[in-house]
Amino acid sequence: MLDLPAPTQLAVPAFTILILAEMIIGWKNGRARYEGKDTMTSMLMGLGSTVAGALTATFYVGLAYWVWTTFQIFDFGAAWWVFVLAFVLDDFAYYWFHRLSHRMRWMWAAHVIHHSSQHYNLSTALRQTWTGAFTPAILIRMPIFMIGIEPAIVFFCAGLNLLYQFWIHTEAIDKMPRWFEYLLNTPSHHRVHHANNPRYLDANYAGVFMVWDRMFGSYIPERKEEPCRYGLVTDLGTFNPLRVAVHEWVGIFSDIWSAKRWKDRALFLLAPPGWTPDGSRMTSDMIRNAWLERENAKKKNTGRKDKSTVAAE
Amino acid sequence: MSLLQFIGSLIAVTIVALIAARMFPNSKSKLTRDRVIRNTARYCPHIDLGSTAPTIFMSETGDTAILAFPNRNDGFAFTTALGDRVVVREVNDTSQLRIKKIETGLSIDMHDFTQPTLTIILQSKDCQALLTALQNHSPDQPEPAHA
Repeated sequence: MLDLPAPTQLAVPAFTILILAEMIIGWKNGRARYEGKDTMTSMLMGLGSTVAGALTATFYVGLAYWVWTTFQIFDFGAAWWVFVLAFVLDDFAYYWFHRLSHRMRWMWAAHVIHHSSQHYNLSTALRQTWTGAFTPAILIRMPIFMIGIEPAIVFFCAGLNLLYQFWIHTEAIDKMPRWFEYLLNTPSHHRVHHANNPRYLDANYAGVFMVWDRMFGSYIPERKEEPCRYGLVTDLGTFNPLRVAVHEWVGIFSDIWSAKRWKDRALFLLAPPGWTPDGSRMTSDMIRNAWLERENAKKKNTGRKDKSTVAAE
Repeated sequence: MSLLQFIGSLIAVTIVALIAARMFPNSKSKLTRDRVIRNTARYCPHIDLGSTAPTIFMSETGDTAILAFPNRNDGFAFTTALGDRVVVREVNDTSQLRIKKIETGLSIDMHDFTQPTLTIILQSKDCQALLTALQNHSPDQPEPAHA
């Protein structure tokens, strides 16, 4: 087993320094905003996530190595190009993991934590799940182990991927150069991902390479005329880290408990967040469609008003 | 992660949060009528708030407000200040509320895991008016699922 460092753990002091730097920048020029309790919650979620990760690491690493040794098709070894290949494949797997985390309530229950702040700053990057181990997320990386890349290399690349994603959680940077915006994930693209404006819902899932969103139709650019508002479509009314960590699980269990049919019970886990058998709550698709209808109605009314004004003149 | 690392991290988290609170004080944390209406319109875009000023019961503490939708059958918007941001919950005829009259106002439990009990401090006249409005708006049936 290759002994590689864990990039995110090594970077913890840098995270803290960069958060303090962003606070100073925001305090001076107003381009970043913090709130004490929100920051406390975000960082406690990050700490809890590290503890939860440490508790489940043995199982995950064991499972990954079992799959690798049992099913590997090729033996890639540990040449430099294997690291490059692993990074690209892991980023592709991350895209689908992330997309599923928004489109399947079971996975959303863990990922929702990362979106639960109404602020968007570097501390939001640390607001991570405590319950990822209870989702099918690990299965998404299995094909990479099965083609023959050693799990230690994949986990190392996944760490680098998360490291990259830290700096994009900021409002202090407007846009990067055009070529950079085209190829890579940036603060602008990721602000859209964290926004709860109906126009921006469920978009920009990329980790590092923006090409996946462009390829699979989930790319939405940030628009100057519509600033991002951050948080959930139904924001949390609490800073309590325990409630933040488990609220969606509580919702899922409550829904499954009160469901009358097995099909509904399954769909409360597998359908997108907001799905109900009777349509009494709204999924992100329903929210976007309702918003589009309102926008079209507004345009029609404006058109009529314009015509009547012209007629009156 | 060792216990020492955990304690060290906890101290670092607290220090950073305290610095954040010091550098960015919550000057905007109080609710105003305008803020309540604006946020209600944002959270409940399907509700027509009308052109006339809606009835708003504003807590004397400035952190909670209840807006009665112009068409009473539509229900209410419960608004709370959370840090420097605002959270709104729509209360309609399927919402289950447990309302308790306290000495200074009302304490309302919305059976919502993500929204702890809401306390609204009001003058006794306003308190009675709100209580009547909420009680008149009794749920047809209990909400069967998580909000």
